[in-house]
Amino acid sequence: MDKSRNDMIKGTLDMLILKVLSLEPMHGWGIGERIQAMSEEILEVNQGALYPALHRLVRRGWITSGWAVTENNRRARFYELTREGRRELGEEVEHWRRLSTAVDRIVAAS
Amino acid sequence: MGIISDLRTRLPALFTRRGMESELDEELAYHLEREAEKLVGQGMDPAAARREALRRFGGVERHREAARDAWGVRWLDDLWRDLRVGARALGKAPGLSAAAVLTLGLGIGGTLALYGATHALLVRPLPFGAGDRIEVFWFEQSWRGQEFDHIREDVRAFDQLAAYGTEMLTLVHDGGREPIPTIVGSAELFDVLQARPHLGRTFREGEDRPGAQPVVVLSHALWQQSFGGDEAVVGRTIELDGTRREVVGVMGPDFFFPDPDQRAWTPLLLDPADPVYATNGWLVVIGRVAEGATEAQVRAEMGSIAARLGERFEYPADWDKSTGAHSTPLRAHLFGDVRPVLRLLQGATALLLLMALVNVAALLLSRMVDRGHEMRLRTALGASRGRLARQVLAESTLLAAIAGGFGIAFALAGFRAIATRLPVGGGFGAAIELEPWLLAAAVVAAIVLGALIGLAPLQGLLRVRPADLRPGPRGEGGTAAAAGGTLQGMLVGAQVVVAVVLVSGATLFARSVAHLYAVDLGLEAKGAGSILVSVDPEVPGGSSQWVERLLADVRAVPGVEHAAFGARLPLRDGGLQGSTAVRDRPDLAGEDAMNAYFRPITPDYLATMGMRLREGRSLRPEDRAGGEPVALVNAAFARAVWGGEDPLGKAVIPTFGDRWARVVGVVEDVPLEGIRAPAPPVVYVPWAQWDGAWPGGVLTYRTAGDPADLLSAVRAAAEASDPTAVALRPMTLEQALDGSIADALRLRFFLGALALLALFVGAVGVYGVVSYAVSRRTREFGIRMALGADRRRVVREVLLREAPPLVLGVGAGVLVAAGAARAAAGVVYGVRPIDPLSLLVGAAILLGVGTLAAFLPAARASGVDPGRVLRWE
Repeated sequence: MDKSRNDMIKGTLDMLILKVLSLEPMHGWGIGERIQAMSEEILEVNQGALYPALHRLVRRGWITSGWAVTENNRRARFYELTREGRRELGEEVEHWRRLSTAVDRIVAAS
Repeated sequence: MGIISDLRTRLPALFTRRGMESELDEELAYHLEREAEKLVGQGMDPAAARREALRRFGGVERHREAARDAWGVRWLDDLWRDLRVGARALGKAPGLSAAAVLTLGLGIGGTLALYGATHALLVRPLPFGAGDRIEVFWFEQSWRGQEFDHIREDVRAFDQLAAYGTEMLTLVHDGGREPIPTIVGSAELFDVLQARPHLGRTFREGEDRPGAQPVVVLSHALWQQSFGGDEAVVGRTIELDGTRREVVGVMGPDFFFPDPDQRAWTPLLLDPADPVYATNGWLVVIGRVAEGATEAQVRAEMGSIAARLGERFEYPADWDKSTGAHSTPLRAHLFGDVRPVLRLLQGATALLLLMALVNVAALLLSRMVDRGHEMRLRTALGASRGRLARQVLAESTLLAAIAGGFGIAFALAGFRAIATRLPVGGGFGAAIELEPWLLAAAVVAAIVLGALIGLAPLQGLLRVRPADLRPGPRGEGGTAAAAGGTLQGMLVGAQVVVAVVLVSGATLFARSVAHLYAVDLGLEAKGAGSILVSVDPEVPGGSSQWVERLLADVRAVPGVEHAAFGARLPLRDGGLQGSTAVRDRPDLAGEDAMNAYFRPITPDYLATMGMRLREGRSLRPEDRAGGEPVALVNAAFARAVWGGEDPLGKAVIPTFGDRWARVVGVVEDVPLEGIRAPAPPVVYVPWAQWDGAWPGGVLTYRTAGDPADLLSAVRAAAEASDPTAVALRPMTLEQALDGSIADALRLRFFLGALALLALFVGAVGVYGVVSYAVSRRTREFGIRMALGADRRRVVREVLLREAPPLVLGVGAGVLVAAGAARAAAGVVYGVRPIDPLSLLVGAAILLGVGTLAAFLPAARASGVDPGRVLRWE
């Protein structure tokens, strides 16, 4: 897939991360894989942007992190959504819907 | 919410950076592992998979950076890096950096020490309750017990009055004998001061009356040093000057009155039956102003007290206590004389600091311009102007911080030495401490200074457009050099001006110091002792016979070589002066009458005091009552009255006399009015020919050894001369005069040291700036010489180019110095304030240093191999 078309706006990545974490707590690599999987391989997370995004979200207080043991008995840092994060997710999804609806309307006009 | 979690991330990041970084590493490592595993699962070879994972990830370091950015600690990293680079840069020019650190450090340290010392003196509250409400009455040190008793009751503008005098008593304890400066005070002394004791009590009412038990209050220092801080000392009996006294109290560690040298307080004996009561004028009277009393009320009170004195007592015209009543606040009495001097010192130190700052700024600026090459390189590598600016700022702050540290160490080490040499007497110097908040202030000041200094090179940098920083054909940073050059020239100029002022001041004061040490006191203080002795006025045979007996007894003490008696001690005691008639100068009458000091002395006086005779003869035992009246005059008197004529044989009527006395000798001057004034005219008359109204005076004796050893023996002999004889204040002549001279000596030392420091800093500063300016033109010389320029011409050009700021600076500096010298006029003695020699020396030294600073590097540079220089380019 042509990478440039799939470059995500920073804000969108944040929203997707929040969404993934709203389903279950996950470590960084897992989040990237999950986004890819859920989008049916259309979206490939730019690995360089993932961790900075995670740090940003932690600073904003929307997610927290902690160390835990994975299924293969290795130590990894897990992230999970906070209450404020859940609220923020709701707002961002709402915002996204309005945005995409507006774009759809324009594109569908003939 | 956001803020809190933000802080929760940032704060720990500051402190546990390492931990967080290693955690991040672990997290990223895990990610890479999983990614590599995935790729292996897709069929890649493990090594290739790891490489691919890393490639996709985009480089770990960038993530670390981004994380740090997110943590908000990047500024810390940058700061640390800036400091490291700054340190390296400073290290690359060690001589320059050392000079800058040294001058700034000395400036900071000197200022810190001096302000710390003077602050304590000028600002700190006096260590007793009534501190600023205490007023000292006029005619200090000359009140008699009788006078004090007459006025002490019935005052309204004052709560209470007290009187005190200074004594030197000998304390006997198992450690031996120890002279203790003691204050003898009236019973209400401590009440007037509102001072509470640390242990026990202070004086009680009535303890200054006959029949009271002798008591003593110890100072904290005396208690610690001679009594081991033993809490059981209260109630003990100790022996002071032969009298057994009960220790009733100990004062607190901060307390002093009137100065820290005083180590004990005993009650004054106010006994009307005691001859001293009515005759010995030696007390100081103080009073505590009543709450709410206005200045007018205080003044009015003074007036009425003076009137009461006038009613009861008779005073000779010159000594009239009943007129001119005024009071001085205690603080002014203690330090008043010293305030302008201290301000002068503060001013001088501030100037020193200023010079150091200018110096360092100039140094940094010079270097910064030279680093155009480096700046260009960094700009090419992508550094922004802001980044470069931050770099420069960090460097100068680092410099200032190091200098500050050095300065603080210097101040701490030198504080004691400086404090004890402050021109205040009484042991104040030893008692003050450098307060911690001042140290903290110094640290802050150093940092702020660093920022300020950094602004100078920044000026040059920011004025330059980035384009100019890129490589230019001349390879010298073009405009940057020019912009820096003007500013630098100005800084050199400013530097030189301040340096000239300080160096001229240095020379001026150094000359004063030399002059002072050379100043003839006119007498030999070493080897002599003095004691105040007085008797009952009705002593059989009159006072002159008693004085003869006294001297005979004293001379009998083994070790005494000479003994004499005089009405007053020179330098310490004033008074006894008035108009003196001169027979062949009838024009000197009325308002123009010759005013001279009047000093009755015994024949051996000159030999005992070590005073010198200029002409004629000294007084002899043959000059007795009934014989021809004779007198001695001092050189100042002879000069003032007769100019160059020979005074011998002329006739005068001394102040308290009524007959013409023949001048038989001329005595070398003694500065009776103190070190700072020229010697006044004095007339000396034989004691035997003068029937004094006060049968008392100063007994002096001279011995080959230490006069302190003979003090008690001589004193005993004095008191044995007559049943009513009382001997007080036994001390060596050096001690007696110390108060008068020591302050002036200390000031001179202090200013001399400050001046030398200024000279050093000024010279280093000028040298550093100029030589650096020249040395960075090394390349230019090489080029020009390669192009065939004559070596001598190159050097001459350099000198000519560096000359303008130097010469202008010197000129301006001389003008400023002349103006400042006027301000110092009151303090300087023996050297005319507008002293051409000092100004000349100052200017010459700095011109010399500046020229040398320009010449040496130029000479060195013109000897440089042109080939080498071109390769550098």
